[in-house]
Amino acid sequence: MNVKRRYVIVAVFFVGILAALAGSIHSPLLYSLEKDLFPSPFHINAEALKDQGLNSTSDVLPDVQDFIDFSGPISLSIQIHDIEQARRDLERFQKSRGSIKNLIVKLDMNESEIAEIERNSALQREILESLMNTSVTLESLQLMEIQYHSENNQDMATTVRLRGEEIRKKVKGLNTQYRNATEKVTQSAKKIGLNTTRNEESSAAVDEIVRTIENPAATPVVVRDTVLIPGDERVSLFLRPETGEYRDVIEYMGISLTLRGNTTLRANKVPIVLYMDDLPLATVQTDNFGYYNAKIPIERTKAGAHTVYARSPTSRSVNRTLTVTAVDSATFLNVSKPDTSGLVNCSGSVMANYPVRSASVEILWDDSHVLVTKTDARGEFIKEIELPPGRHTIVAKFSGSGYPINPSESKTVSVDVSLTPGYEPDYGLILIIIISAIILLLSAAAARWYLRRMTNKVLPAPDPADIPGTSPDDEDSPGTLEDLLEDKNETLGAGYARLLREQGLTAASRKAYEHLALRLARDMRVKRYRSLTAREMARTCRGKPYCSAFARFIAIYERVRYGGQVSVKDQTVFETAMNSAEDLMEGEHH
Amino acid sequence: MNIIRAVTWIAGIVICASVFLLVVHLSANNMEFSRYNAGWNGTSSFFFDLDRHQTIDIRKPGELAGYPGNTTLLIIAPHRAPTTEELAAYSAFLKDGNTIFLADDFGTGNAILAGIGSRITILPGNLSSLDRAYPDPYSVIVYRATEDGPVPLPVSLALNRPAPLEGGSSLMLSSVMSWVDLNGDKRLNLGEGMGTFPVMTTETVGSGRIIVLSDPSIFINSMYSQAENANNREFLKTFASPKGPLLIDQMNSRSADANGFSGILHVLRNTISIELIIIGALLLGTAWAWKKKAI
Repeated sequence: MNVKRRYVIVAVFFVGILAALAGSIHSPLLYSLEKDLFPSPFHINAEALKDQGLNSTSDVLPDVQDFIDFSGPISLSIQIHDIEQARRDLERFQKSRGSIKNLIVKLDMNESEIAEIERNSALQREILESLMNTSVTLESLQLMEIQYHSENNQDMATTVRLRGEEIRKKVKGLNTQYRNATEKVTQSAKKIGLNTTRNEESSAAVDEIVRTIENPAATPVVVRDTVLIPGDERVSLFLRPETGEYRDVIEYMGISLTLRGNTTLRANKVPIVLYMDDLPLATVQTDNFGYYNAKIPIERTKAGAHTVYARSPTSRSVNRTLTVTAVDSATFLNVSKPDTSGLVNCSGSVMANYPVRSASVEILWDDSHVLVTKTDARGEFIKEIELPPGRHTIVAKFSGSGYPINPSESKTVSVDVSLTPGYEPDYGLILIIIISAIILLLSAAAARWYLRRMTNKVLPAPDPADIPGTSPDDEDSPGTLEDLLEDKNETLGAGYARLLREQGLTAASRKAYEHLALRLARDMRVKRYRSLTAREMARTCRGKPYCSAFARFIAIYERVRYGGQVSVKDQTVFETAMNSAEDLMEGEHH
Repeated sequence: MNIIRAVTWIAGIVICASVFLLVVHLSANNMEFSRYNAGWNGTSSFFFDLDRHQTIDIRKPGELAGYPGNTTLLIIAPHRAPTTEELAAYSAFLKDGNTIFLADDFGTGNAILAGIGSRITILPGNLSSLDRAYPDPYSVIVYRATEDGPVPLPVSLALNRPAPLEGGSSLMLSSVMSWVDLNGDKRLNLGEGMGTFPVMTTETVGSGRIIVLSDPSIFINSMYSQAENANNREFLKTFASPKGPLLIDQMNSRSADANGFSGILHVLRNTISIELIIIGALLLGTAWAWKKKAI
């Protein structure tokens, strides 16, 4: 096959490959999972969802558990007439309900078990609040009745008593309503694996409260015992250990006794409320032998000494001191690459000796904008920020407020948001283009080099048979000129003069060129020299002393042969150049 | 001469590299579940990890015959109702005491299940859950329901748009915070009750066993290869290395799908007679080129 044709085929093939690659390079199948976002009816691209926020029951359930546990201590506080405490707990209960409602809206769970729990817990709260208010009112009325009795004002005493009876009638059936709500809460909570013990206990307490209100004579109201003296030893409390750090578990235990005449009995199945710094910490129940025990981790308890005591319905323990030691924390922050609208995902974690749960983390960007988020049960947080174009710094801070943990902040992360709105350089594509360009350039350079070498057609040390004129069968052997030079022993000048006379300057100049070209081809071992132009022949003699003379000869030869009318001067110049080139070639050979 | 040879070698290497890239590029596709799809929705990673010495592709019903009782047939995402011949082959396969593992959530697998006498049914609707692997209710995390399954079960699996199942003994269940999204709005609506739903069940049919997983997407690259889905990968690797042979149904499975150049390439690869003709032609061409060079 012809060499040129072969190279044309290879070139077409090569260009075809590059064209096929260029045509499909924007959506290659050798793609990254992250960028491949086309919709599928069968599944979702998990890779594309990774940067988004995540909610699961592990995040939600602890909050819901706290929410349903509120009713236990509130009912107990009402039962023992600790109204202030009941009010505080109801307030916290209301706040917790707000966050649960937000969660339901956010997660679109209007018809979920959590929504059912929220609805029924709200009803429980309403009943508890109503009972608390009734208790307070009845207590006031009772005091007023006593006062009117002492003043012998029977009319007013009767009025007050009747008013009390009206109020008592209103609580009728509240315990049934409360029990129904509790059953529903329990039912829903058990479905999602929550502990309903405290909530169920509140139902019994409410029964007791309602019974007390309805039958004040049968069961005297247990008025908050303000004269209880700490350390009367009817309820004891021990802590183990008495010092701890964040999330260390403290064991609270003791025994509750009751006096009956001169006999001291163990108080079985009575509620014991543990207080820390005068705020209820937990409610436990004594066992059949009057013992109670609770293991509670240190969570949101400030560092320092805290007073802890236990209360039974009729007694109060001595004060114990729990010393909480502060620990250092570390805050970590990762910031995702900004998308086209400048949105970045800030994720990270807060660690003390354990992951810090439900902690507020401030995300501060450019030292001027603050966003607050919360850690989940694993101590991790995530927050999306929309940044304007430009360079920004982001840092996450944990203040440690409310925790026995020292504050900490993350390393500052720098983020560049493209100044061109909506444009994000595709570095992968740029890299592909650069690599393609390098391959193309290398290929072009290699092809050019190869073609230049082929054009020169310098074949080192060829077979002597390939050299023109050395083989009797050589097609390139110009018979007439060989005859002229060898057989007739005619010089170039003589042959030129004869042809000039017989056929004219054009034919003579052609023969002179062929003569010198043949010599050059032999000298430089150029194959098929006849397929080369005169100028290409002139380029093959580089490095030879006669090369510049031959080049001058070629220049005038082209003018003489192809330039139309030839002047005498041109003919003279041609003959001079011819003789000069021949002389130098002769000199080279000798 | 040496320079020319070097240049020829360089040009040859560049062309070979280009041809290789082009062939690799064209031999892949983006079809759902295709074993030739290296993208997120293909199953190339799973098929790449299969033990070639233990795995056999089943392309005709007749190829299911004659296996001992410790063989497992894997049917991933069937795309049509089975033929009578295929059902007969499945039933005979089970009758020999073997196991069929069917992974399907489109419901086309129901025809197979009914045809082989199973009482398991793939129900319509997308199973959704608050316990999710990714921020989408359809990326459901399911949990082990029993310690004594016919295959080793992980504690949990991350699924991608599974369907609920009915019938059989549950092997994997969704958490209680799950519901079946009947109207496809990814929300919990009236009539879409919360609760646990089976996603992997098993039952014995004759002397054989059928295991149904209501999500073939567990095999796709984005649910198999990612680090966070290590449980999925381990489960499938363990499952795909049974004591006996593992047969992969390629008669009625989206995993066998191929199109365009990749289709032609895979027909060539999978048809022995054509493969022999091509190898012969290549050898002849090489011999001719060698001879020409020698001249």
